[in-house]
Amino acid sequence: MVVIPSTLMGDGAAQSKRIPLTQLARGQRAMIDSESLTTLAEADRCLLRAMGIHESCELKVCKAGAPCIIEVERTRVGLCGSVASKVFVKPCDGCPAA
Amino acid sequence: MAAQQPDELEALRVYSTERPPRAALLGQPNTGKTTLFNRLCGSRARTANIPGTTVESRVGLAATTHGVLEIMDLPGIYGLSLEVPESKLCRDCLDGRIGDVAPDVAVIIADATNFSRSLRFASHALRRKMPCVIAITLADDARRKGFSVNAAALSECLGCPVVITSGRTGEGVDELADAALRAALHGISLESFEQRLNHLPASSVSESDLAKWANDVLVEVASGRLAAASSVSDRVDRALTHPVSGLATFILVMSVLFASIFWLAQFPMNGLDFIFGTSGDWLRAVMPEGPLRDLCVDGIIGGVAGTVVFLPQICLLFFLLSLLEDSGYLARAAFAADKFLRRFGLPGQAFVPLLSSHACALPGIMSTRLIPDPKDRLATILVAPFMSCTARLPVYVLLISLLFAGRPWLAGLAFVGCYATGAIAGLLSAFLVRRTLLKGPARPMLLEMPPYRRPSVRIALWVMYDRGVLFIKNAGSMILAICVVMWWLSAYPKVAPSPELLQMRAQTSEVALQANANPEQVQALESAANLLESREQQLGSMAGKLGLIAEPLFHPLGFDHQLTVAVLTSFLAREVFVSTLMIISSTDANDEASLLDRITHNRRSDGTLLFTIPTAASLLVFFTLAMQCLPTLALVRRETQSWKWPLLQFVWMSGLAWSMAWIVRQALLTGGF
Ligand SMILES: Nc1nc2c(ncn2[C@@H]2O[C@H](COP(=O)(O)OP(=O)(O)OP(=O)(O)O)[C@@H](O)[C@H]2O)c(=O)[nH]1
Ligand SMILES: [Mg+2]
Repeated sequence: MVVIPSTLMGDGAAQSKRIPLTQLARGQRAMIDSESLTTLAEADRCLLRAMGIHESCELKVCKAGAPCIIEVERTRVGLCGSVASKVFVKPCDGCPAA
Repeated sequence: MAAQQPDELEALRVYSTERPPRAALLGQPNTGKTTLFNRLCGSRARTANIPGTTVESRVGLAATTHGVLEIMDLPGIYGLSLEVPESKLCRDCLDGRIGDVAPDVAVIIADATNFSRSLRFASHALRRKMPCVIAITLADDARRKGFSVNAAALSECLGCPVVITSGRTGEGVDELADAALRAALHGISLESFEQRLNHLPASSVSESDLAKWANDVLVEVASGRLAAASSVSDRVDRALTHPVSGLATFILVMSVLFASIFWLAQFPMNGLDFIFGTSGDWLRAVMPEGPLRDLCVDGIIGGVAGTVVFLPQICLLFFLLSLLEDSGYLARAAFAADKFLRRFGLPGQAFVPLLSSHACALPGIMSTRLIPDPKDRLATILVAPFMSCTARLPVYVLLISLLFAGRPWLAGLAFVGCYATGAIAGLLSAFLVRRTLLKGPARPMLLEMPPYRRPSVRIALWVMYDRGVLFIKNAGSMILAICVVMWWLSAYPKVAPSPELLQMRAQTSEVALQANANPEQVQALESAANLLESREQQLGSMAGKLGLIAEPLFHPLGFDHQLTVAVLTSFLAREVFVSTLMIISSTDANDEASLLDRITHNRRSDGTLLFTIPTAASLLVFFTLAMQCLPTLALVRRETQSWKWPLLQFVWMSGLAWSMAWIVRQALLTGGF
């Protein structure tokens, strides 16, 4: 997959470009939207949703890379690399990195 | 909620069926359901700070001011409609397909420390047409973090009774039981159900609208705000799941765990050994000589002592594992282990079952239910008994002290080696089975990390107590029975003395009667005669005959007929091996010698030492790998619903054990040992 370094993207592009979860840095925040989970298997998508990782939520990366740990509200979930690399999220520039 | 007059309730209760109403605890994993259940029913079901602790439904009785309520604890589920075993079990339970009747009321658990998610879960559960009560759990924890919920306001919002509880402190527990009983007796009418639905978002609502709804409710009914998890736990998480520091922590934790088991437990073990030794001596002194004394001293005390001395180690292992689990560490270790375990075709979730199998394979296999993928789960069940459980400890201790007497460092290494051999054999078997019988893609890991909590020493003490009692009960029933039967088999039928023995006895008395008899010589002759007698008895007894029949199978491993009998009985339960050996070798002349001495100096019929280094080593390898536990096989049959898997497990493990033991023995023999 092609990854555009964020420095090359304009503000507008940053809003629309999705990157896989595995490429977020520690502490970075990102949005999950209606298309983020479509590449996952049905069972995994349902489980993630029920765990609280649903479309239109904001997540924070607690441990970056693969596998990674993300936090949504009060829930922390560990995802193995094969799932995390299929979840495409929109990094929030507005959200300060922790 | 509408208050009812006690008389009215009483009437309702009388007119309801004879059985007490049943309430089911329904909620997400790790939200304190079992803790609440324990409080309500005064029981001590297993709780731990890791999602998926409860894997079976469990029923208890709770007393309320208005009568008895039956409570059903269920496994935690992320959603009622998911296609995973726990969700299916909960659906079956709610529909009355489990436990003969459907529950009369659902107690929906809402975790106060993760409130918005709990509300979303509740909104789904409330759509079932049955009386519901909402129990807000972990209220004490949330309050400490500056967050509280207004029960009345929430009840208004959701259209059903709400009680604020804490399983730890007992807050609101009686009130909850009352509310549940009331709701159960009252039933639910169509109007009230429709009213409740009006409070909830439509079933077709999108996930984001549902989240918005939950947030609106939260703002309305809660005060304070739960801060996101602290940066400290962020940092700890990072360290614990890091490839290097995570592994280092894991090795450190496990070393401390096992080192403390061996070091700390030796003190109470010496005490127990002393108690059994003295009581055996005392009985021997006070009882008249005869078969009854032999049965009591050799069969009962001797046999049971061989097993019960290991009680402290077992208790300690369960205590420490419980503390670890309750702290939230094990979930991180499982997460970090995922990449490694995947190489062998096992999921990260297999980590906790495999670790607890080091205490006992039974709870280990039970906890595999939290593994979502059926093939992953089956593979884990198949290899779990390879992990060195505490029942193997007595044999390890005995054989290692025999092999490495006076060399504590080597002995320590050998212990580690035994544990490692079991684990490696398990991983390689998993690798094999996932590439042959259980082919298929692995389900990726999605694991919730529970918050770090201060582990509860009280819970750990109870776990330890319960496990200890179970062990003693087992020792007092099955192991005792095996010991008595083994004693009987080895003591009967009484064998008539052979001509050689008679001649030897005659010679002894002749020498003793001589005027210039040398007392040492007399004694030597006498003990030689005693030894011959006991050997003849051993061979002539039923156990001896059995041993002779099966001996050819184990002869290549260097086992004689005695050892063969001990190994055969240990297929019923491993821990009886030392006991059996103690019983069948106790007819030897030197009754006062310690078990270890007795076994070390045990000789074959041809007079050569039984426990040479190659034989002891092959026996050790055999015990490390063999499947010698009937209860485990029975459990595997139950969990897999077929005899195929336990049979496969038995044949594979025992075959592997035999082959590896043979290889080790041949290698040592060739090496000149
Ligand atoms: N502080 C506090 N801790 C609690 C309370 N209730 C439960 N816990 C802790 O929360 C953890 C989970 O409790 P469990 O009762 O095992 O939760 P469960 O819902 O049965 O979990 P599963 O069986 O995995 O679904 C344990 O570490 C408990 O000690 C509570 O009221 N207050
Ligand atoms: Mg539970």
